Amino acid sequence: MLRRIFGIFLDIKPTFPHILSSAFTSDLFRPFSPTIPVKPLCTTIAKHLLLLAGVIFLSPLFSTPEAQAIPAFARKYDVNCTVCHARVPRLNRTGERFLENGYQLPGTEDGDTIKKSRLGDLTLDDVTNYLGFRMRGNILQTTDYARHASGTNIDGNPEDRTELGFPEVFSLLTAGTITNNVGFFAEVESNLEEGETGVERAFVTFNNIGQHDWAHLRIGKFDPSAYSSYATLRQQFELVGDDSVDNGSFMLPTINRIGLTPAAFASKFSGLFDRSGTAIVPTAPSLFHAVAEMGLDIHGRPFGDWFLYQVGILNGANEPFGDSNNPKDWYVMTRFDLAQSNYFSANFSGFAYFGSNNAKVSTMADVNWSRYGFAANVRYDLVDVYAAFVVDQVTDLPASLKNSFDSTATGLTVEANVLATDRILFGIRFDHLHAGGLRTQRTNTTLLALIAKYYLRSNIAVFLRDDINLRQAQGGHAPERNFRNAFFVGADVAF
Amino acid sequence: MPFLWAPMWHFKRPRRLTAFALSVGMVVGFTFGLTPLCGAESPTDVSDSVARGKRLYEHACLLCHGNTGQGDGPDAFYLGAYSAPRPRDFTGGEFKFRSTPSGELPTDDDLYKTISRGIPGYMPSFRGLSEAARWDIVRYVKHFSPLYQEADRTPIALAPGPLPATTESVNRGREVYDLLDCAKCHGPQAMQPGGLYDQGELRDRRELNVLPPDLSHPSSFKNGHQPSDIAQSILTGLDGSPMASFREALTPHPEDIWHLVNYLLSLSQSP
Amino acid sequence: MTNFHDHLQSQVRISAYTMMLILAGALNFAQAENSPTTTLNGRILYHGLIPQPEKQVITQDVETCGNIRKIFPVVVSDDGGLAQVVVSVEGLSGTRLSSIGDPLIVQNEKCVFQPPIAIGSVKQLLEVKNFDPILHNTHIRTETRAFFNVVLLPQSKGIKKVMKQPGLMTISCNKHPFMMGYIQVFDHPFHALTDSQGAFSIPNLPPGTHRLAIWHRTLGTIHQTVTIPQSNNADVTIEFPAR
Ligand SMILES: [Cu+2]
Repeated sequence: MLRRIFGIFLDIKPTFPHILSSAFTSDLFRPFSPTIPVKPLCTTIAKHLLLLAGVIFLSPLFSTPEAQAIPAFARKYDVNCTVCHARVPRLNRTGERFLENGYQLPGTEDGDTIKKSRLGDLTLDDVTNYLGFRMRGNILQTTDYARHASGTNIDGNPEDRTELGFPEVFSLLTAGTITNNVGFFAEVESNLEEGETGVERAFVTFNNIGQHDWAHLRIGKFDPSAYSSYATLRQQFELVGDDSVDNGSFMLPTINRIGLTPAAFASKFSGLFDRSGTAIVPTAPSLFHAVAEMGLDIHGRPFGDWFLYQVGILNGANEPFGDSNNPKDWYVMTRFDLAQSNYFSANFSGFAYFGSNNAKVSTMADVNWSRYGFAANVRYDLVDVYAAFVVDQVTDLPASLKNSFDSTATGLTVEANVLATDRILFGIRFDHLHAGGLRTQRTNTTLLALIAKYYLRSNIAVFLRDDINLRQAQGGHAPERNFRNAFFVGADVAF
Repeated sequence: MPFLWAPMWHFKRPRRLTAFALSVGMVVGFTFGLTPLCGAESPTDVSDSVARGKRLYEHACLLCHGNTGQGDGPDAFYLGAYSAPRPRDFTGGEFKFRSTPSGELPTDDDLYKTISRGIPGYMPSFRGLSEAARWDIVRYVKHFSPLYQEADRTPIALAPGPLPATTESVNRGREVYDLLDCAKCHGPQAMQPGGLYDQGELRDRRELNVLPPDLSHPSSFKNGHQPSDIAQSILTGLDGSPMASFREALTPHPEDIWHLVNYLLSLSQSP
Repeated sequence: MTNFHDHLQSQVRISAYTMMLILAGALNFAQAENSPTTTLNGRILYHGLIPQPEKQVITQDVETCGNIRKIFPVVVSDDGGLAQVVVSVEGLSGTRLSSIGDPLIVQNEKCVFQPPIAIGSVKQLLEVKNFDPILHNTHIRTETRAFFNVVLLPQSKGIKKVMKQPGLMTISCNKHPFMMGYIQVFDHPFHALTDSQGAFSIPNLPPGTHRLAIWHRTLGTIHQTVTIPQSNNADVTIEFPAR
């Protein structure tokens, strides 16, 4: 275990000076791996930078000085997005408490009060007060790595690809309160890239059971980590999903796009499969950090604002619907909140997620996949820093895999955002994955991501993002080790 | 529906009663649906109320206003990182939304009204809290400043009105708008910021830029867009912002306030 | 924990008040004993560098305000007497003001606050008038809050308000950003403003050793200890350190 943790630092040591020197000589995109020769990206990147600079400098022409937000809750409460969002999509403390309270203002039980019509025993919102839309995607993305040859596990040739892709994801959100202390959320997402439309998340909440803030119940398909110090959703660095082609049962998938998920939340293992035999990509968010899982959970702050508990139970079979397996997964999370003035706040949380027959290995044997971790978040003035360190463990491995399968994996993610002006946000994220799974396949990765976001309005943002591989680029089955640089120009609009 | 009409009924109470008696009356009156009883509260009741207010404040208000009441809660910066408004500092005793003259503290009624109505764009309405709970918060908010103990918080008198919004009244209102140089901040058409904003001269006490709102939107009137709300904002000024009190300036022709209000309201009604 | 802390703080505050009251009482008693009081006469001198006047171009209401505004950061007489310095005696707050006196009048005159530097006392009436044929917007602030922010009609009597808190108040005009004035408010009568020769006089001082606070708008604040002998007037000359 200890070796693993310290391994993070040992592993990356040789490559760090290299990266830094290349970054500072503005020769970042020069191929520095002898194993994969590729043509420099400088020119394309420069073109994109110019384009984004153009967008940013022209944007004031289209925006009036007043920033007014439109989405559902802003409409309902007649307030700006920044009342609940540090900057969209990331929540501030008020937003976090609003979410915890089942879409009611912190400290209130106003689910049947604000902007409601009363018809007999019904309290109804105007439709506009619970509908929202979100469109996001990468207008331009430039990546460079060896994609696997189609349908095989054979490494292909490195390719420098530039694609246009906006909007990648279009979601219709509906959320609000049915009445006092009964809330709901549903998100229908259409992923144009994957050609899929479906219910991403949907759940109902029953809030303030017993006493105010004692217990809030959530039932449905939801994101378990929503209340922790570092939630999977609403990051400034939008999750970039992997794009994989399943090569049949118990075969590793072909990767067509690397998944840029925080290493802490990723699956971390190579050679794990869901119960239907579909491979789980090491970069996919999972378990406590799944984007959505079916189940129910309870959270509350019974002793005051400083302490939050959460207990939940999930199908956890990594299956889209239903559960082919009898035992369930369960988790517990506690969070401590400190300091509430001087523009300062901090919180930290710890969780344990216990999986039970929730994954398979290539021998078709069921294994238990569990996760433990810490997360912390500190905010002061214009700075927002958050981090998570997560340990994944697979137990009940079949004897035949004992030696070839590494049953422990860790992930560390540290992220910081700074508001440079009311409209410009800079962010940096560091990811270190000490991967587990099949020793022949698993690949440790260390990535650094940079983001610059410009908010035309508090609900319209254009962004520029660059993900850099801090290690030697190399061949193999893990695309996040093949690539050197992924560059995105994107937009995120909510209305 | 007593819940809906109760607040409006409340705001029409004569302002000469002490706010203290009013608050007691408000709670009792709402419960029994009777006219307020001007009874006295024992000190224990008041300290209980402050204690309840503290708990409510810690849930509902602290995240923006901070546990010391200085408007420096963890979210305060995100609301107004580089431009006004930041959340109110309750310890300084400077308040925008008052029925009292410029430089004075707000009445309990004023505080209750702001909590109940919210501030369009920046603070949500806390109508979801019971009226008694909102009065508890009023008491707690006042405890942040010792100035409340001896302050004279007499609301200003309004000229009889509002007056009917006739064309003559609106035209006279436009004249008053020009006479009082409103365009310097609000622009010649009251829709775009005026010259002083362009020169960067409009700042609050934290030196943050204050954007004069487009007055052709009802939501721009942060103290409410009823004629009496707008009249009150113009006469008392919004302390802490550059918006001054026009009470002395309108003394020679007190009825002009209603013409000015009619002109401003005509902006949001015209197509 | 917090409660205890608050409690402790208020305890400290109460004892501080009590101490002050006792001190003030003792001083009053002393005054009664030694009925002859004394006057402190003095001069404030400055021989340092005198910065060039700041020039501001005026673009609005030029008929009344003029085209250019020269602001002199330091004004000295031929022999170095420093004008517009506020001299006050420290540690005498709480001393009863014998009479509140006439209202302090500040006028808007040709877009200048007259006087630009004023001194006043708690409970004294402040009267702000407008002599100009244009609107002014007089905005007076204490360190923490607005004292008032009021629009004054052309040639109007203006507004009156009692000053309640000691401290420095700034006067500005939201309409004319180049207009600037100051009022130092004290809760005791022992304060004075130097004239164009840098001279000042503080009457009715109890004999003894006093600490003076000497404030200048641009040069800042210095302190000086003076001893006033029994039944004898004292003269001091204080040199403002050169910059
Ligand atoms: Cu002026």
